[in-house]
Amino acid sequence: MKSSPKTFLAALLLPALALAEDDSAAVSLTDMRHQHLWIAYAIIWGLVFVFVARTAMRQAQTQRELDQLASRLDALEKPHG
Amino acid sequence: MNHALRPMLLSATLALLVGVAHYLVFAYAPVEVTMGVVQKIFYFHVSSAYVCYLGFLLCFIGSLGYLFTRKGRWDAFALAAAETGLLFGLIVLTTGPLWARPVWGLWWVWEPRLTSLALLFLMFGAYFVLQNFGGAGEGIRRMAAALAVFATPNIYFVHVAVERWGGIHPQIKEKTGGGLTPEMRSVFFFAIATVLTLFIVLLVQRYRMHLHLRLLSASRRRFSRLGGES
Repeated sequence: MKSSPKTFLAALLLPALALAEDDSAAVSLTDMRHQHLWIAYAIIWGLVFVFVARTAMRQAQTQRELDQLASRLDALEKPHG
Repeated sequence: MNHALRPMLLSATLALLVGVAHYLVFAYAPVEVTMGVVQKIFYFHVSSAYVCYLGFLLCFIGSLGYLFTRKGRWDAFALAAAETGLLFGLIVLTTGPLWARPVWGLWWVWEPRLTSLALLFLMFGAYFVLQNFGGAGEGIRRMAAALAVFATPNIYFVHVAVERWGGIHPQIKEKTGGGLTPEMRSVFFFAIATVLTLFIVLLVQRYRMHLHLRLLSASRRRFSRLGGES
């Protein structure tokens, strides 16, 4: 019997699917609930941290550039002191 | 108050609030019987959803202000509100599937609440992209403001999605407090207060940053006009 590409693909994927099924069965529902709870809170504070850090860095850089530009503007506007 | 002391005091207060909120969530609030410990995602997930709405609503107000007055301050405020709203929207959209997987058995379901929230997030994502990568022209800012004005009413559809169109997303019944014990409710309110405080602090910081960025652009233009070389 000649196998179609779909059957061939399914035959290839079956062992991987079976392994994935084994893995998911191994992790009990209780473990999964605990894992997801910790991951969720890690994501929450990770995202907030990245946001705060990026804001602070950009703010500091902008302030630096503003200070530099202000002194150069002063020099341009008052060339003779 | 000393200017150097103020941010430190603010950070300490925020850290204390967050610490107490976590203590209440993990040590005080009882474990929900059906969903188990994963239900504790609820406290920050729902609070984040509320401040996400608030961020988008403030973006709407800022955008209207900008469209009527053409003052850069309104635009900076709208952008800061949208960015802070997007942060909390991202928190909602990532913690939601983490909560859903052990409870529903699925990471994502294309049901009314989830789909409408994803669409709202994408609309404000488009606003963010337009503001940050669309160039510095006033036309882009006006277009972005108009986009925010048209996107914001979708908050209403997200909010009423469960009541109007059903779906499997749980709904808090505000009047009866359905599903929440008195302890859970008090922890929930504390979590809302914490997330709201965090939101306000982040919004103010972001707003200041955008004001400084605009000031920098204006100073650069002035510098060029005076014949300075960058």
